[in-house]
Amino acid sequence: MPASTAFPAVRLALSEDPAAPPTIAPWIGGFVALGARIRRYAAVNDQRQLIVAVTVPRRDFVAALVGSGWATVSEKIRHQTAATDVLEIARNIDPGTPVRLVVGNTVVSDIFERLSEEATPPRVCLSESQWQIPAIRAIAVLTSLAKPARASKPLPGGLGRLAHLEETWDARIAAPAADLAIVGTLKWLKADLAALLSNPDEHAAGQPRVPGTIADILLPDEPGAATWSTRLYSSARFAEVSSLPGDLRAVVLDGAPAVKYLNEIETPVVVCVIDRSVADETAAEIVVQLRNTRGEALSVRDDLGWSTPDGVEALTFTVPL
Amino acid sequence: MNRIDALDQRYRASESLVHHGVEIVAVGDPAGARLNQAIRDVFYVAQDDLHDGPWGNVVGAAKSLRWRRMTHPQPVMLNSAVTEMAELVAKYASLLHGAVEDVAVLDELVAAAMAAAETDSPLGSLLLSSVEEVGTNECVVVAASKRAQVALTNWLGELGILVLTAGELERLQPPVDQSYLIGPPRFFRSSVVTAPVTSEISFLIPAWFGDRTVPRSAMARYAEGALEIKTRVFVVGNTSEPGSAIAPSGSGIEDDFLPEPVWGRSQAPSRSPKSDEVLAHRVLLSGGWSMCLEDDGERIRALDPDQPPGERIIYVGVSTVRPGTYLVLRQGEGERSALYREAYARLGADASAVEATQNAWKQKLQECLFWIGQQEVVRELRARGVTTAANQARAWTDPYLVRPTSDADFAALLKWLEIPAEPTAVHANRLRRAVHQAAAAVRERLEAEVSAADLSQLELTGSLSLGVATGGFRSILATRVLAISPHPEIVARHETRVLVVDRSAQWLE
Repeated sequence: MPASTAFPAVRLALSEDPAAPPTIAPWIGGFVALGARIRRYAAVNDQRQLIVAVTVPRRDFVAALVGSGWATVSEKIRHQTAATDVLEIARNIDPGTPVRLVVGNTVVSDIFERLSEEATPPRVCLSESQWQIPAIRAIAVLTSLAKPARASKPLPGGLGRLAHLEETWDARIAAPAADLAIVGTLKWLKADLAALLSNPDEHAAGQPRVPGTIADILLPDEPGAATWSTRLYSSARFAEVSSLPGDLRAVVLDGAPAVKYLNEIETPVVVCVIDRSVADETAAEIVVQLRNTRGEALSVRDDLGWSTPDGVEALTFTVPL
Repeated sequence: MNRIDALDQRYRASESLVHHGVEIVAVGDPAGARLNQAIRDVFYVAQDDLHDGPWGNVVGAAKSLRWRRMTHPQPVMLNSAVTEMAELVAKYASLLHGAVEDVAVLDELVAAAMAAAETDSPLGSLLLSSVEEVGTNECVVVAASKRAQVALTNWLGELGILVLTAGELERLQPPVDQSYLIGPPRFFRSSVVTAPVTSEISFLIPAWFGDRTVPRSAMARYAEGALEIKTRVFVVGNTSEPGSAIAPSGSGIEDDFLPEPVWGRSQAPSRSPKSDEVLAHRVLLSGGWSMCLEDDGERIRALDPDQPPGERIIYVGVSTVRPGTYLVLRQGEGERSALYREAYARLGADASAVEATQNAWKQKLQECLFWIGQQEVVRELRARGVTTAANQARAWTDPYLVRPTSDADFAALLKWLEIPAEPTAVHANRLRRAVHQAAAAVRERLEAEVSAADLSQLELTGSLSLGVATGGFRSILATRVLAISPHPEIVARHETRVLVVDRSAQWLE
């Protein structure tokens, strides 16, 4: 993709305390934009594995922001908020199938037991609850379900509104793409995901709105989550992961302990986040060695259409899959 | 300052350093220059015997003294590190008298060492005046090692001047704009300039030290947006240097200025390893230990003290072990045999069937290696789509390496060996899972130990005993890699990863 089609810089702000003014900095929107650019590139260039490495002064938030950018660009999601659509889908679900429902401000994952059309209005009966069809805003069949769960519905927040995700939000929450994983230090990642992302232009326009957390966009796969999109792996335990799920399309390796697994990752896209504040340079050496032995160089600017923010180095190349 | 603002400041400090560069103050140091020249003369006359033979200890002690002259600039009366090392130079030199011809060179080395130990370093007074000019609360002094930090704190701490190691600077992030680093840029981790904590950085070096290059990040050469840090060099004081009648300038003496271990005479082995042998590098470890680490093995357990509790025990590839890595090793017998015993126990009644299929494919691969040789095996496997992992072929015969990591590689290997994929692949996967479970159980115990331990001891002493004694595991030690031998050796596979007592690291800090 030529640079001339590059999008304007994305302005975003980050905060950990809803009461304090958020920090506006070019790297915040920059990393979200990188995630989006990578996904657009990968959608049309999937013959070889794409590897993108960035070095940053510290790793904080980078993997979460890049992942958020990736998640905002998803495959076309079918509108599915009409009750007639929901009824039609429910008629074709076999009893015992795991499903996910979005009802009002609630997300429910459970086992589908039956559709009760004799009731008025008709109802979907799950193992632990029942729901009237007109109230169901989206329904999706799942391939598996560890155990039933119910949670309040995440909201699109500042980034979701910026990326125009509101219109298809319910369908997205019912069936998010489960195609991204982040490998890193879980304790740090979870702290990053709890941060609030806001659009400073909304404030400037005098329309302060609920910012939303990074987790609302990334939807981490956590115990008890009613819906999820992004798998999180601990780099300390990653040696014990025998193989990654086949539906993954991108893995973000966050920090040196994770990047050291680069040569074993076979997903179409790998993003390496290298923390320059860490004395250990082997992560960067592994990336450079892979580029020099098997890689075909690309340009972050010309091929991905992304400009590095100040203080950020970036490198991208492809290798045979 | 909150975490996000502090982070944003790091991006700005990086940007500021790219625009303004770092300052290098080169301070005239005639006594240090004389010592340096004397060492280079020894290098010149002893060229082939530097790392071994009679010169080994003299050179080791002299290099260590020179390192301390650069990194311990406090006045002589507070500088026992320098005096002790100068006395060691004299002691080892006296043992050499009569054993070597070049007595004059030796005598000059001893005289230069003694002079260096008796003269205050001009770096010290310059540091003091610089800090006072900026304000003792407005800057931080960064030492090149923990030992130097302790010594500098004894001197500067009373004046209220903060002295840290580079690692402590990173962790504590003091709210100051200026740091003074004592020693040449290459003696520090590159992160001090590529991920700066302060927006202004000065290195204080002796003028006789010629290498003033500032490290770049390991990716900078290929990266877009690469950080290029310029330098501004200021030369002060008496920079006269002694000439040398012995070592002509530009004589190509290899001298990396860092203290180094005594490896003994070593060179690459002239034969190939036999079936139960392996190429390995000797790894020197804190606490007076070493071990041999095979070149082709599976990951090895390590400890990352910078990670939060619960995620500190990690695994690293053997090729990524570096000086500074903390390896976590079982004392006594190597750990893998115990891990596999536990894994087979977890398989219960199926253990013997799994063991049989594992033995069968490993045996067949072993035979191929024997009959057609490793190079040919690797070539055959590459032709069948086993890519970068093919040169692991010999390692796969190791009973303590379950299977190739990649499913596709394993399938291709079994097909080439003409072994049906099932049940061999299923068995290997079950064994792998059992080994992972056994390793995870050990890791959980170690994580608990590490969470309770005082990790500051690790930085100070380089090693830490983890009293894990349950489940057949004897005491486990976390120990810092000090150096890795430049040449591989051939060792029996069962001798790898076993701790042995080794004092070769005595000249390192």
